[in-house]
Amino acid sequence: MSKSRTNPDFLNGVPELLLLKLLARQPMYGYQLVQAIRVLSAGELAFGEGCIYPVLHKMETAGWLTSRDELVGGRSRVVYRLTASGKERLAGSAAQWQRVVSAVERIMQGGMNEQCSVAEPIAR
Amino acid sequence: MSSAALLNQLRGELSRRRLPPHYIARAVREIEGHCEDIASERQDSEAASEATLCRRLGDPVRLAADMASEFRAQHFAGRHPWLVFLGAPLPCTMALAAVWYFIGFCVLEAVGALVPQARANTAAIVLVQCFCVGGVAVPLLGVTMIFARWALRAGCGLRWVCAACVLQCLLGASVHTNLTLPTAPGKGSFSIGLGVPPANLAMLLLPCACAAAVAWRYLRQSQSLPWEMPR
Repeated sequence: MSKSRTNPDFLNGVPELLLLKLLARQPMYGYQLVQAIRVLSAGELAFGEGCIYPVLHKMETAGWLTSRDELVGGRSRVVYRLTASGKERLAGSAAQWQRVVSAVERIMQGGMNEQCSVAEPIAR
Repeated sequence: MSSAALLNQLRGELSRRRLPPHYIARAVREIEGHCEDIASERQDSEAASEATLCRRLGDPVRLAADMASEFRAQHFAGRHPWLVFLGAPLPCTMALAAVWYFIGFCVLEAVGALVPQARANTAAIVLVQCFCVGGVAVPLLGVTMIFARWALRAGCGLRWVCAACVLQCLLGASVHTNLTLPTAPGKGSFSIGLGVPPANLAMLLLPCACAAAVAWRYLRQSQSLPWEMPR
């Protein structure tokens, strides 16, 4: 049997993964990122918009992002960019996410019933 | 305007959680920009109401708590304050003192060997005594300053500054040193150790003064931030 593993980023890492993916396309600031998540998820992912900033700050401290003050539409905004380290992190997180999604998919499609068909029914 | 109230509340909550002034300024500036974007995305007055901003951005108290939590989690001192501010100052001070005395005595031995008449020189004797006192004072001051700054920059607050300072005060007050100047090569002696009762009351005040100076500078920076947001 393979060694026991956990998926710590199964839920906690979702905002991080989304932000990395969006910033891989182009540099953005907080409000743009929130709007992009809302539009691309067709409104399914709803959250307090302010909570994106602590995540961005954490990612910047980790070295996955850099930030710079820039004028956007005549207003000063803190624009975030993905670093080389962030790209590596994105590749790793995306691969892990795909594995988790595939595993959940298999379970949801009934694969578990087939694999566990040898298990004895619970005695009553 | 309602966004100003929200931003002031956020700033107050972040400040109450003892986050560093530069981080508070940046976080509030980003949220302020976000409020402006929310207000400009819709032309009706409802867009900028406080209820709308709170609904969109989240409760300022909760937001500040999340920011403080994330900020502390990013710093080793924020994750392990007991280890850093109660465990580390003593070994750091001792290590620094050891380095100080090792380098100092090497220099003194070299000078004594090269210029033997310097052993009887009054200026040299005073210099050696200063070096001996400095071996206690400099590590105490240096470590207190570093840990006080570290506590404040990691958002750990003044209580951890005080904790490290009290440890340094106890250490400084308990240090006993004794230096006998050599009149000939190999005749001098130096001893250092901890003793009870405290013999070195001047050293008790040094870390207090250093920590107070760092905290005062930090609080002055905090107060220099504009409190009221433009309306």
